[in-house]
Amino acid sequence: MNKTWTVAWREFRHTVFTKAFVIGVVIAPLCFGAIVILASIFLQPEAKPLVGTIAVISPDDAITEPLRESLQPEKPSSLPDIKGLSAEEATDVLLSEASASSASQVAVTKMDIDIVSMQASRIDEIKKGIRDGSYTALVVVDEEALDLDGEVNGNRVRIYVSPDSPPSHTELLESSSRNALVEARLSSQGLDPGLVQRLTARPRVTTVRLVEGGDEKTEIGDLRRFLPMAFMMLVWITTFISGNYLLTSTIEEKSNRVMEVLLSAVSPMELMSGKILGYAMVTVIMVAMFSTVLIAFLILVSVLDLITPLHIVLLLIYLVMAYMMIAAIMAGIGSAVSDLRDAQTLLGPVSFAVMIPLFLMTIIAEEPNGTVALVTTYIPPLTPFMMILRILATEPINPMEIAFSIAWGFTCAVAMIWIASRIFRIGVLMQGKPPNPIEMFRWIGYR
Amino acid sequence: MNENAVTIQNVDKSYGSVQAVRNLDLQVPRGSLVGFLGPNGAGKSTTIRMIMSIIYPDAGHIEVLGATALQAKDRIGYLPEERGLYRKMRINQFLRYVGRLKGLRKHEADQRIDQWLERLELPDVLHRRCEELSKGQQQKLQFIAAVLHEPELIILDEPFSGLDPVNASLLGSTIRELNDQGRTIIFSTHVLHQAEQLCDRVFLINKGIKLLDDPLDVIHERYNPRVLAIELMDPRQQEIPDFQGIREISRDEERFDLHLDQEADIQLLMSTITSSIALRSIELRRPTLDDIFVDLVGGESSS
Repeated sequence: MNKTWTVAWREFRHTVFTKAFVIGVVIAPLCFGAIVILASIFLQPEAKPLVGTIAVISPDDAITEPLRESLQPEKPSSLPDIKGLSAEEATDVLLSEASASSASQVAVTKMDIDIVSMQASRIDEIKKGIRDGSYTALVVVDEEALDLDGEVNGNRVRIYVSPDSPPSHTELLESSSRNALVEARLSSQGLDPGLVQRLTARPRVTTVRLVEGGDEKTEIGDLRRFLPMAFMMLVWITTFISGNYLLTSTIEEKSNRVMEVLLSAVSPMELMSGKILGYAMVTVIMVAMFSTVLIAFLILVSVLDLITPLHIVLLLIYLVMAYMMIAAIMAGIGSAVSDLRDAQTLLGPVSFAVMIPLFLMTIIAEEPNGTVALVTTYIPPLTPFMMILRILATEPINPMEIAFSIAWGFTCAVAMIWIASRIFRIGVLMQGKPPNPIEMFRWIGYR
Repeated sequence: MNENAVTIQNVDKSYGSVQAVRNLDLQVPRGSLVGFLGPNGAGKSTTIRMIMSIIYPDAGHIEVLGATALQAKDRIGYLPEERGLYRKMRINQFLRYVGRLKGLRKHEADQRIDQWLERLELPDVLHRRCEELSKGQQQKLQFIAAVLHEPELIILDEPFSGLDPVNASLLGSTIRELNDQGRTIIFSTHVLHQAEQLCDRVFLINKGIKLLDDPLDVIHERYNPRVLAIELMDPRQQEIPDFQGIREISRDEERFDLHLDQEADIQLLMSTITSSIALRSIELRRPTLDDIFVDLVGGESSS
């Protein structure tokens, strides 16, 4: 055990106490987060002012006035009213606002425009005026635009702009023209547009989930879907980064020919165990870092109670299981090849297999007890990733199934480590042409 | 205590269809300095790896220092044929790591590292990276890694390869000193005159089969050609007189080889010849390991 620990400590020390690790795993994510936050605070893009004359050609000047009203400078953006809402509801409102505002990033807040109604016969003259700068834009509404018998969603409005017109201006003109046309249609039917807008405003709906134990929990739709994926990704990323370190370190020792020196002091099993233990400690560092950020976010949006202590215990159990499985794969492959290129060839099918949880994330989160979830749960090395998705999804998982998945998963993980150790003790002394999977299978039976 | 440091009995080892070692028997007495010789692919490295329990025999039994090879790992020092270092690691870290794996405490390892670097004339390299050393320096560093923990048995696979004559001599004298301290040393080499200078026992294998396993003086005696080589003072002289005890005379340019009978008294014959003919030189030819190696391995190959 002493030698295993010596190997483990060297692997840990020479991975974590390096500039590459500190920069790649600690500083880079922190800098990325800081840049995103600072950019969103300080680099709010400001649109160019919309100035000049906008010509409008529409039947009976129907949209000229609504367009003029619609093209008023926007009020400075304000936070949505969250007074009186619970923490969960407030979070939901803020998240909805955030996702809605991301569609139009740049708002035009300064305008000095003159809207003039024109005859259809002057369309060529106005187009020429747009090119030479005497007009800013031309809005042309078709004759059928107000005809409710026809296709109401057809392309009834065309907007002509100059070549250098920015996207913020065209987006504004498009939305304002659309709104003006709707208002004109309402008015043509004798309806008050303001009243209709109030009547058709989308009400806020709150879903309350009646959870086990008699409690009620306000549902936060997007977060509920995000949470299992986030934790699964956390485990997936950290175990794969550590697995890659394990792979490259084994290959490096083979290509540097230092392997035989090590094997004169330790047995292959001690060496492999030391490596797996060392990179397990690296995984702990990474999980601690990334999960701190994730938990800080959950605290920030007041939904930490979505994660129970039982969830945390289960997450840790599945993290250990996932690491054992991935480490076994990486140790086996790393020992069998002499350079990274050969490793990529063997890793190809494995990489595809372990990408499956990423492809199935949304399906499992939506249907954690469905057939796909049940089948993939019992295919190693998918077991831990699938179970993390399932236990954090909305539908409760039968405790017996959780217990069985843990027993099954650890049985498979131990079997994978045993197979890896059989391959490791032969592979580490092999040089040259990489083995094919059949040869590796034969190594398992060698004395 | 078992008087042999290494006992190999009826060991076989195959790689697929290739039989690397066949029914091998070998005893290495404690405190001896054994040269392990053989042509390329003879099975030397395979045997050494089995002694180190890096690989295991298909059949047979190996005992090292009175225990199984695995149990005795910390009492064995090993310099493999394939030299290996962590390129980016600093010298002190590398040696300390290897020392720790061999059971040394940190301060104990540090103390010995300083002593050994000084002894092998590697000053001021302690904090340099392994990749910054020359090939010869790396070789010496790996030798230190093999002996740092003061092992009872030291196995050196081609220890002189890549060393210049000065460093080869330094390493040779160090090996001799370690042997004088009572450590058993097995080293394989292709440089046979170095083996001849250093070892007191030779073990020769070819194609996995043992051809020779004896003390060096016994080998010399066994393969003694009983030939007196003489050069005459007068090179124009074509013949030499017939002396009793000489069965055949051959000539190679100015040198005559006098092949002696088994019963001939060499001292007496040398004195008779010296007093009868004017000689420039006279010597009793000794078989070199090169001669024996070529004779045995060549004969084995042709058969």
